[in-house]
Formats: sequence, C-alpha cells, structure tokens
Amino acid sequence: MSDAATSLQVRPSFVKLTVADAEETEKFYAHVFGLVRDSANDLPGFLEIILKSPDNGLGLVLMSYKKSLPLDPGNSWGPLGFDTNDLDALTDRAVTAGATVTMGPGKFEGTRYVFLKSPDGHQIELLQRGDG
Amino acid sequence: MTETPTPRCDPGFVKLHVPDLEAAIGWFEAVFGWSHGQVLDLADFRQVALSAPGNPFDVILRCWKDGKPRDIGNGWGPLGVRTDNLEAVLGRALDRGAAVVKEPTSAGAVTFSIVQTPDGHEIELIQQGT
Repeated sequence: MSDAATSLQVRPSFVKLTVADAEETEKFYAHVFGLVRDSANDLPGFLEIILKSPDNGLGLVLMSYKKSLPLDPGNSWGPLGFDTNDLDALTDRAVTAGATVTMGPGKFEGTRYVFLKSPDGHQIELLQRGDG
Repeated sequence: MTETPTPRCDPGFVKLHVPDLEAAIGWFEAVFGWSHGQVLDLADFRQVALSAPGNPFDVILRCWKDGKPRDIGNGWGPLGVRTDNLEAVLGRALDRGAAVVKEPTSAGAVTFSIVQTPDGHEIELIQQGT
C-alpha cells in the first residue's frame, strides 16, 4: 500500500567542492559564511576538511588533492546558494575575502540576489528574501 | 568601535544542471522521494526546487534552453545524501539508470556508496549505524 519511496528517510547532507588548497579555502568559507570546522581527513592522496553550518547543519566538504591537478568547475553544478538577512554586508565580506561579483545585485519577485565567483572559481548565489 | 555584526547566513541550495528537467525530476522523486515545488519557466531556463521533508536545504534542478553541451568538470561533487536505508536507495538508483562509482563500504559506524546519476552528477549515499 504505502509507497516505499516516502517511508525512507533521505535528505541532503553535504556538498563537496574540490579546491586547490582546502586549508586556504576553509578561511574563505569560515570568515565569510560562518561555517565551522567539524572534522578533517588527512590522507595520502588528499586533504578533506568538513565544515558545517551552525544554523542548519548542512556540510560543506572541501577537498584538495596533494598532487595538484587543474581544476575545471564545468557547467553542470552550482551555484551553491546561501540565504541571508543582509545581502550587501555578506557580499562585501565575500569580495573583501577575494570573491568577485559576476551578476547583480538584482531583484526577482521580491528576492534580492547576487552571484559571486569564489577564489577557487565556484559559483555562489546569495539570496535575501522579503524583509529579511 | 562596534564591529559589524556577522550577517545571518544559511546554506540554502545547490543547483544541478540537467538536459531534461522532467526526466531528472522523475529520477529524484522515484529514488529519493523528494517532493518538488513549482516549475519556474523563464526565457533562458526551466528549474524546480526539490526538498526532503523537513529539510531546509534544497536541490534545484535547472535545464538551460541554450542546448549547449554540459560539462561535469571536476570541481563539484559529490552531493552527500543521508539515508536510513542505503541498500534500498542504492537499489532504486541503479534501477533508474545510475552507475556505481564506489560500492558500499563501511568505515566505522558509517556505510557509504557513491553513484553517478544518469545526468552525470555524483551522489554519495551515507548511512549512519545499521
């Protein structure tokens, strides 16, 4: 009777980004977005730093290979979106920390948005909905 | 003297770009049981947000209308997905055309497996405990 698909618990837990230097990139996401280090795995082939949002628990995993390899963000993923109550302040913090604005700020159906490129080239979207 | 307060900031979504929006919606519904909101249909793209019940982080599927070839790159992914029944979810993913990238592996109290969706996005399934 019951649909098995709805009885299972299945939820997004993290997004992984491959970056040039996970420790450098950690500074960007910690300073700008307030993400906090949960743990790290230092393995022979790569370093992985697991950051978590103190607000909703979502993980952002930063992974850098020990042997450097050219990074290609492709065009099938992203942006990674953040909701904020102060789009301008958050944009300033990101730009000061090395991000570049690629589009906006603008407004769509009552929501303000700005698109950024992180220092590693990942697209980030900031949204401020309604009044806050 | 006063330091600017840190703006509130919550990770809200990640977008996955897919060549066929309806097919991708069907895949995520059937495999993960996520429900979707309204399709947003604009000049350049169609997109829809998928949410797990009670979860604040959405996966947004977007289909560009430019018909440009999609390149998966190597800078993003996998998307991590937690479940209480990895075997069942993995079975459904494979039935629906996903490919195994990493067979189920146990590390301490965690079992994980990585699959690639029919559109090429890597998803890591994680089950805590048994």
